[in-house]
Amino acid sequence: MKTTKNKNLGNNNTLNILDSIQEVQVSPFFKNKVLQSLEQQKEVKEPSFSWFSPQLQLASLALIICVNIGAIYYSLSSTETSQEQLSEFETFVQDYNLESTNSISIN
Amino acid sequence: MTNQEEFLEKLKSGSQAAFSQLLDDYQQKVFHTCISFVPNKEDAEDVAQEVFLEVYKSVSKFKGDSKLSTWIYKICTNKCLEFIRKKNAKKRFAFMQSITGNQIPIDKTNFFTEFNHPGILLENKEKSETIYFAINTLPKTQRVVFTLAKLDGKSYQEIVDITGKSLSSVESIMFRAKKNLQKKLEDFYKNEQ
Repeated sequence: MKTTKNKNLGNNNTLNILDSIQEVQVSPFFKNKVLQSLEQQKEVKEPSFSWFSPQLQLASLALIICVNIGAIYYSLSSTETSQEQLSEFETFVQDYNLESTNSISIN
Repeated sequence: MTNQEEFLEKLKSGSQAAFSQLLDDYQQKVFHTCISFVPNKEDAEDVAQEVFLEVYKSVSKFKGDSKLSTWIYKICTNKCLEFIRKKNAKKRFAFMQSITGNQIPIDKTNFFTEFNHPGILLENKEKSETIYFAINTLPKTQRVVFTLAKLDGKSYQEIVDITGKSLSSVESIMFRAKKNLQKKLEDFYKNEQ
């Protein structure tokens, strides 16, 4: 019984030590240190393409997509035109009987 | 617009003068909270520095639904817990390395940092170390509430604001933390005998 009481007393004394902890002052150069590291972070974070904002990135992406779609459309339509031109040419050849029947023989 | 709102606007606009003012107002308070969690002056200063850098970075996201001080203490508590978690992980890694043969000297106590609290009197150092060690083994919520209340000297209302728990919940957590601590200390002294 006595030992338990002593133990509890010991525990309470131990916990009471926490009340006697004195306030520790922050070092006098703390503020400068923080401001300095803030400056360093700013310098590091300044990227070379800072002008290339997300809005500009989005706009350029849209422009690239538009140009690509335009190019694909143009190439498809130009294929159709060339096929039309080819068929017109064939008709012209047939109409004027310009088709060559000669075959080249080595003999 | 109140002074606080005006000050906040200046902070959000990235004003160096406002941030300097914030440092003057809070450096001691934040450092005090840090050293309550991390009983090593150098480590506590490092964590406090991280707190202010985080404040500067995230102040634009602060909506003002709580007091600025509460928001700063929240960041501070989270940074301290993160620091302890990282240090503990490092210790475990070092311990594993010592088992696998790569000898890295680790200290005998399993504490996450070298105990170096200038506010503790020399004659109380050993007992204080034991308490800090015991606090570190408490569940996270109990550790936070006990540290803020007993070591940092925050009022229950401030702890309610910081942790977002109800007053009755904070009181009950505090009660359990004290009880657990007493039990742990009892066990410690039993083993010592």
